[in-house]
Amino acid sequence: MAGRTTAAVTVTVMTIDQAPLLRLLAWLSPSFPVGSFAYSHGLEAARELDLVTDRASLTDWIDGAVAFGSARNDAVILACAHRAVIEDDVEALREVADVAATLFGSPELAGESLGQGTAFWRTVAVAWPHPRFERLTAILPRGRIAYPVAVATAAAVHGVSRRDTLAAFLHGFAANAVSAAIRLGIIGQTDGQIATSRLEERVASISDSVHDATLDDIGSASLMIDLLTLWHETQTTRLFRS
Amino acid sequence: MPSQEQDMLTRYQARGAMGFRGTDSRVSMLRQQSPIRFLRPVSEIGDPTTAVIVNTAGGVVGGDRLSIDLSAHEGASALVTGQAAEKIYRSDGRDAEITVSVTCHAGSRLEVLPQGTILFDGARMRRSTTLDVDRDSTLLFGEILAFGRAAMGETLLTGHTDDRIDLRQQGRRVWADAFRLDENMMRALAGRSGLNGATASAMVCLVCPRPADILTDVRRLLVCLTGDGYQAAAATFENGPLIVRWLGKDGAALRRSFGGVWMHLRSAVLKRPARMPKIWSI
Repeated sequence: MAGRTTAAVTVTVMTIDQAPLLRLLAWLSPSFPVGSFAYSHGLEAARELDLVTDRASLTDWIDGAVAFGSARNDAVILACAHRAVIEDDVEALREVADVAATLFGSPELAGESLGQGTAFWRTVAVAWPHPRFERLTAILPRGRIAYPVAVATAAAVHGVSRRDTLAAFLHGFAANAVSAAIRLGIIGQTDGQIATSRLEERVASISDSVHDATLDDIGSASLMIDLLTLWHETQTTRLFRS
Repeated sequence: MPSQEQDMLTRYQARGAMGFRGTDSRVSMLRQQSPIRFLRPVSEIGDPTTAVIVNTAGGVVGGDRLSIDLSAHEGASALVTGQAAEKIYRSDGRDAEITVSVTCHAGSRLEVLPQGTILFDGARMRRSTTLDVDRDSTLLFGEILAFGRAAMGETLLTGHTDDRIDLRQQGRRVWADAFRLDENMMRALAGRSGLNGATASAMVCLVCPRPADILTDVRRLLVCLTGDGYQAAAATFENGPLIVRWLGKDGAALRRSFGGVWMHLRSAVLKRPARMPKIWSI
């Protein structure tokens, strides 16, 4: 009898312990239905213009987005939104959600973030229902939830740490770009994983550096991503929506 | 030498404000504190009331705090430009803070044409621009940034830039832009997804009732995306502005393309002559 109780307790503890990790894995996996496969974040245009042609140039492209570009900016937004939810600061969350819903280098980048953010929110609300998450829906701009705001809010409500969420989010960004590059024929599967492994250090260091970021840290220098996603709208043959 | 120029300049905290009112677009409000001055040249034929912003200090250094306020009231039309490119000198560690506020009341038509901003090596600039546009009004706004004094072979090596634009239409946030060069500056300047070696960038933001109508024309003007020395592209945001961006190594060619697009937009949307104001070509 005693032994069975102990076993049950152990199982319970493990479940509580690992729930945040499991949720993070589920939410940021490529199979989570936010349509991430449809977005190349400028890579399709960069391929067309021979700016990204191999593993080295692809790694440079993604590394830049994470180090100083749009992905770092998303990570700053994520950090601010996560903190606002943890501190139960509704006004701060509303402010970061408002900024995030308008801060886009191009209409395609807006579609990429708002499309994924809205799908993410809807799916989590149904599959991982939580009263607090539901309440927060009311304060966010309807149909215009930026992807990092959606991920941050779900993570904070479900007890996933800011540190882990940031790392997983930036890793997800890098992995999705690598996957797009493979489908664009820029590199093969193995080279893709080599690129992913080379990006680990950058993903980890930016996750750390934006952990305590505020709205003053918002901004990016990925001007080529902004410009090429403007141009991409007119690209003759397109597989991707960005 | 930047350091000598810097020594000669005192730190300024100054505000300049100008308002245009009425169908004759007379200057209804004018405040200027040294070193900010507004010049009032006689308008060129076909142009509305014209104002030229001058920084008599000849540039901006760390610690300066400048603010510019422009308002076009109901139905007013105006053109505001600068006398010369604004130079942001090497900083002693402090930030130069620049605040720009542009307000277009209902039915107004305002053109804010930049001469550009030159970021010297070591410059530290925080600039915040707020564009507030009411219904039935048109705002043609632009910015040109030079990264280092290319003509002198200088590039940026250190410093910090935060250049933020917030656009509101009828009080509602519709678009924002935040360009930032931080401690990863060297990576950003060289990186393919960053500036890709560019020494200049530019942007045009057109806010008007149906910006998508003009997009095809603008794109036709930009066909030379892979043109010599710069790249450019345009798109319109849903219920938002038309945005054009340039990025390149050839500042002069980029500026010519910028001027070509600007002339077209001022002619097609604002019904003003298809030429640049004389002061711009200097």
